[in-house]
Order: sequence, then structure tokens, then C-alpha cells
Amino acid sequence: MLGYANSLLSSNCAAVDMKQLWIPILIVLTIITAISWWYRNSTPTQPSRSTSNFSSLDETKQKEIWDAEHATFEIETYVGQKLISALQNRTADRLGDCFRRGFEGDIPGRSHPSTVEKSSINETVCSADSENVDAGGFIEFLIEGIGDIREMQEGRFRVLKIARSKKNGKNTDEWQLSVLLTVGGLTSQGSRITYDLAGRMSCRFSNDDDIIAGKIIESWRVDSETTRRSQKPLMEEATARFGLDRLPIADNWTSGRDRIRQYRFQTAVEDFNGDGFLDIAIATADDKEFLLQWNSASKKYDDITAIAGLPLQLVTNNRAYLACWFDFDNDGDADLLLGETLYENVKGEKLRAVSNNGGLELEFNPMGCVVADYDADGLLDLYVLYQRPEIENHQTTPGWVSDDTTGAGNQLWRNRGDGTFIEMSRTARATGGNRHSFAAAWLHANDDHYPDLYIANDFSRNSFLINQGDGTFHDSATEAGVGDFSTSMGVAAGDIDADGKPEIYVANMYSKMGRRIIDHVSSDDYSEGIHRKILGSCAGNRLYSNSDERGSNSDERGSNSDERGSYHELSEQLGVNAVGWAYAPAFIDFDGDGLLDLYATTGFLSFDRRKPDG
Amino acid sequence: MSQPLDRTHRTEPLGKIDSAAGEFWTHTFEMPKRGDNLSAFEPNKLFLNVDGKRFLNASFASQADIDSDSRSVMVGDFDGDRAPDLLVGSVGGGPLRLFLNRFPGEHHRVNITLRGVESNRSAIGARVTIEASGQTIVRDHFAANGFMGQSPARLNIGVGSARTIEKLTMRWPTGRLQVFHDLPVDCDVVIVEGSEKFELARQDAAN
Repeated sequence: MLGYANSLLSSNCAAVDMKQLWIPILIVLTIITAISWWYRNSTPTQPSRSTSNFSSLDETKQKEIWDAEHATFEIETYVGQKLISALQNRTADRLGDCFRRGFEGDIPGRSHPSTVEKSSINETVCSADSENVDAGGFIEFLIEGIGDIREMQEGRFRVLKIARSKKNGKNTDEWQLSVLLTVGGLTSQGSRITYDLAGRMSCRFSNDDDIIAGKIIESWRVDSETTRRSQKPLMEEATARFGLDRLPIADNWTSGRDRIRQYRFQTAVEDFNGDGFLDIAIATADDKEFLLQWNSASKKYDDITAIAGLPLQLVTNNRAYLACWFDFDNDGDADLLLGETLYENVKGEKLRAVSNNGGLELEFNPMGCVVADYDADGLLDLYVLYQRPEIENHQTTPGWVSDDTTGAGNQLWRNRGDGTFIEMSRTARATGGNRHSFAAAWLHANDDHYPDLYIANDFSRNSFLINQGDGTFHDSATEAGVGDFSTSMGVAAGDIDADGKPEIYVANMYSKMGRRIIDHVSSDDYSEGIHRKILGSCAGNRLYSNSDERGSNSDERGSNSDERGSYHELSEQLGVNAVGWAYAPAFIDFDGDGLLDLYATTGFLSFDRRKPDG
Repeated sequence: MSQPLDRTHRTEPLGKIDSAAGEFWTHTFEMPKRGDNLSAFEPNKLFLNVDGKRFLNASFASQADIDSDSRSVMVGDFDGDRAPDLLVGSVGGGPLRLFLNRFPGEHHRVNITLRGVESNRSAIGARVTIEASGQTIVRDHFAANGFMGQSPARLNIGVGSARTIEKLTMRWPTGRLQVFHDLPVDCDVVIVEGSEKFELARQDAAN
């Protein structure tokens, strides 16, 4: 979807000096700012027609980017669909319709593939011993490559990068593309198989009609051909079997378009009644709450919200719909913070509201909370994350490319052991710096036994609060090299290589279009430090490691290479960068081999599978 | 992505628009009204750690690669077989969906249940280091909350082909260290802070 360009051409977000920042800010940062803005405001503000912020935008470059994005749309739509459907039908002549006369192909040899096997998955990559072929040879290569896919279930042709070739400073009809072809389906034995072809392509067309006709590909150089096969599914959905398929929780896909929400509920899982099975607490943004208990007899979840003594309607004055189990009174059962009410677990049968809420006074719209005993006094403390204050205290729109600190401070509630909590964030220097926090992970980042805290922030750098062991924290994000600017929505920590130094995996925004457009701009276009932040704003997920054996791998996507601390960013190298518009990640050892694997959620708002995506 | 900060603003296009094919340039941010997709139908990812140095994208084989705008994931053993399952929270396509672990292989696991005495009773913040069959495994004991969803704090540890844990080092949240030797696998082990012996519970997978 190309409407992206609209945002780069039409913002009224003044406040900061955007003169040299136009494109990237508007490409990527505005998406988030606009979205959060839109969700905050049910009615539009006064219309404004000003485009003065763009007066300094170089018209030629604007037009170039517009044309490139338009060409991308047309190529993906017409040529992409043609290629996919020809592959689906294995029709060589239809494939040939996309190639120009004199087509030059470049394909890797298949005799010495590199292979990885893991949990019944076999991955084969061919990337060496390349040879030149003509159109016939290339088509043969393609059809052979997907030979094992009996039933094709998905196919996508994506333009990852695009640039128009120039001659003597003038535009030509030739375009250089970086492309990814992905098809997937079932083999004749019914097992899953996917096929990825990454490469570079040269296309020639003078107008849309040429693209629609389809005969535009002059050359296609394959860098790698990856085939992944699976013998059997690794997981099995049991939603309905466990009685979780009819929860009365609103869903964007059935709620109607006037009731779309970015976030709908928070969930917390624990064994409420000590039977060894997991129970589920849910608080929703439309003020419902649920306690679902595993019933070992019926082997389904029962709704015991009322039975446990919880009100069916969540009571909040702060748009708080937290869900968090923690044994704050150290009596061996899990107590519950739900909505903004603290409940004590009474014998695994009831939840009883704690008097005066244990002193907990939450602020507006907490995004989540995480539990640890930060001062090692034997009592669990509570850290609550906030995005913004209810009444924003700034007069002008914040500078999104700066380190925005116009959000709300997070709260650190210290457990006093008498059933009450006291807020310590300022004394403990643990507010996170008012950076629009979304999520956080406790971890042991160093050798002491005091837990440290990594915080994923939107609109600004992330925070890395190192516990000093004296009741205070020090934010070492910058010196450790883990504070790169990004728009972060989630985080997980886990030791992937058993060296006692947990890795940190941060879920960030990523946009296909942002990556493409950003390829057209360089550090020359911006003032000091800005380009790096812009790159960071469509960085994809990041993985920080401070393992000794890892070499320096400072990348060009917004990492602070000049301020690099003890951590290295390795998401591309490890193959966990491209997730999408990402939310909660988790480290899990799925296959029991002692190595932590990853699961990463993603996807912003989906409406119609037949429409283009942006 | 057409979300200018000013939703009422209209921009004149700088080039052609293929409206017939659904290209949208000049829209303001009207996704709910117009139903414009934004980073839509992106499948969740499942990456398998191959050797600590690279991950294999196993999403396609997982069945947990749902593409319904997921927000949260809660990890836990929902069916009592000691293998971690996924409860996935989404804003589309069903709010909570449960995916049970069906990974093949003969790997062994152990559940370690901790009971703090001086430390907080749940022993949140403990670190466990395991040595088994030449492999070292380090796990920090927290209730992870990646975004809008809290997983139970559990030490559900895979030990590969090892049939016994040669050495287990506990560092309790208070800092106290304890070392245990020769623990069995495929069972639940209960460790109480300060107690020199560990207890065994539930040696067979329940159903």
C-alpha cells in the first residue's frame, strides 16, 4: 500500500524542525504517532490545510519516491500475481510472458546445498556455484524448485528495494529491484513445505501499461534458494477442545468497524487453586473481567468469575485493565491484580479485594506490569508501565525524532510486607524517564542477584535499569548499547547460548514500505544523529547479546556504532529480525533441547484479505 | 501507509494512482472506516534455536503462525505433559487461542518448583544453572510479560538427551547459593530454600 507517501507529504506535525527530516519522520514515525493520536481522539481536531512543513522538501526526490512506490505497487500487483498464478499452474509459457527478449538469468547450483535439520524440519539453502541461463533455463529452474509443492496454498512476490536507473543524471526506463518470491503448500505426502527465492531483478517499463502487460523482467539474479520441509505440525490448536473458543471478548474481526481497537485485553496465567493446572485471568479494555479455571473432570475451562467473588464488571477510573498474578503476601498461593484492584487469594477458592487496595494507586491507562523482588527483602514488588499522562503536559507536539520524554513515569511499588505498598520510582530512579513505556522484562544482566529491568519504549530510546543493590537503579541503556532508537512494543529476555548472560529480544515496528523508502535517503540528507534514528524506526525486531565470543556486528540500521557498549545487535545474523509490526515476544524451549527458541507475535490491523496491505 | 497527523488533510497526488487495483495514496487515516489494511495478516513467527548462533524459521510448520493481529503470548504447560504450550492473545480472529506442544523427539525435561524461605516464597528472581551431559543451561526465574500478557513463572527445562542432571546450582533471590547433584529428569523436582535435599513429585505425565 502506497498511501505512505501521503503521510510524508501531508503532516502538520510542526514543533520540531522537520525541514530536513521530512520523509522518514513521516514515513515511519508518523504512523505510530498518528495511530496513537487517532486512538486518543474520537473526533478530529480543527482541519488545517498547511503544507508548509514540506516547502523545503526537494520536489524531485518526492516525485522519485512516489514513482518508485507506485511502481512497486504495480509490479507486486500485476507481475507478482502473474508469476504466482503461472507457478501455481506450472505453465512455462505464462511465466515466459513476464520475461523480456534477451532475458538473463543467474541461478545457484543445487549440487552442494547447505542443510540444517531441527525438530523434523529440514532446511536446504542453495546460494553458490551460480550459472547464467536464458529464460527457458530460468523457468525450468523455477518449476523444478517448487516441484515438491503439490498443493500450493500461498504465494507472494515482494519488492524489498527499488531504484530507478539513471543515465547522465536523467531517469531511464530501467529499474533495479531486490525481490523475494515465497510460495508454500503441501507435498504429495501432505507435509508442509515453503520455498523462498531471494534475488535481484532488473526491469524495464515506460508506463503502467507495460507493467500490467507484464513483460518487463530483463534479468533475475538469484542470491539464495531456500526450501524448508516439515514432516509433521509442531503444534496443535486446542482452543475449542479446551473450551476457549467462545469467550465473550470483543474481536475486531466481528465487532464492526466503528469498534476497532488496537488493544483489547490483558491476560495472566497461573495456577489459582493449586491443582497443578493453569488458570487464566483476563481484564478487557471494555471493562469486563474473567477468571477461567481448568476443570479436570470436563477437561475444559470453566468461567468462575462470579464464583470466585469477582465483579463481572471491571471497576476502573483510570482505564486500567492490568492482569498480573503474584504472591504478594508470601502465603504460597497466587494473588491477583486485575483491572486496578488487588485481590488476595483465599484458599484457592475466592479472590478478596485487599483493603484500601494495599495502597496501590495507579495512574492513567497502565500498559502492563512486571513483578520482582528488586530490593531482595523477600517480598515481591510491582513495576507498572505507563505510556502517557491522562492530561498531557506539553504545549507542542513532541519531537518524535528526539529522545521523547513527554510520556508518563512508570511506578515502582515496593512491598512493605504488611499488606501495603509504597511508590518508590523517584527515590529508586526507576521511572524510566517518561518515555512512553509499553513492556518490560526483568533479567539478571550482571553477576549480582539483584534483578535488572529492560524497558521497551515507544517514540524514544529504550531503558535499561541496572539494579545497584542499594534500592536504586541506573539507566545504562546508552553505555551498554541497548538503547537504540526504535518504536518498541514488547520485550523478552533469555540466555540463548548458556553463558549466563541473557540476551534481550525487543519487538519493534517494522514496515515493508518504510524499509523501501529509507533506501532512497542517506545520512547526507539529515543533521547529525537523525538518520540513525530514522533507520531505527523501521529496524524490525532486535536481539542484543553481550556474549564474549560474539564479534562486533554494528549494523547500519540505527545502532549506535560509535557509542557501542557491551552488547551487540545480532537480529539479522541470527535470523530473527523480520517479524513484522511486532508485539509480545517470548523465549521458550519448545523442543526440549536446552536451547531457548522464540515465538514472536505481530500484525497491526487487518481488515480485508482481498485488499492490498500497507 | 497513509496516516498523516492531520486526518482532515488531503494531498494532491504526485503521480498516477491505480485505484482500480486498490492503491491508496490520498486517503487520510481512515482505516476503520475504509477498511484499509496496515501491516495486516502478518503471521506470528516461531524461530528454533539451532545452536545458539542461528535460528531456523519454523513458523510454516508450527500451526501457531496465525495472522490475526496478535498482541500477547502466554507460555505454560496447559496439558500437563511438561512441554511448554502457547496461549496467544489477538485482537482479531478469536481473542485467545491455545496451541499445544507437539514437537517430535525424545528430549527429556524437568520441572523445578522453587519455594523461597528467606527469599520471596515464589522465588521470583532465582537463577538456576544446570549441567547435564556436557550441556550448560542457565534460566532466570521470572513471570515474563512480553506485552499485555503474563506467563506463569516456571522452570520447565529441556535437557536434551540427558537422563540425569549432574549438577544444579541455585542462586536464590537473596543471593544464597545451593548446589545439588544427580537429579532425575522427566519429573517434577521441588527445592526448598535452605533444605539440603530436593523432593520428587509427579514422575509421570498426567493427562
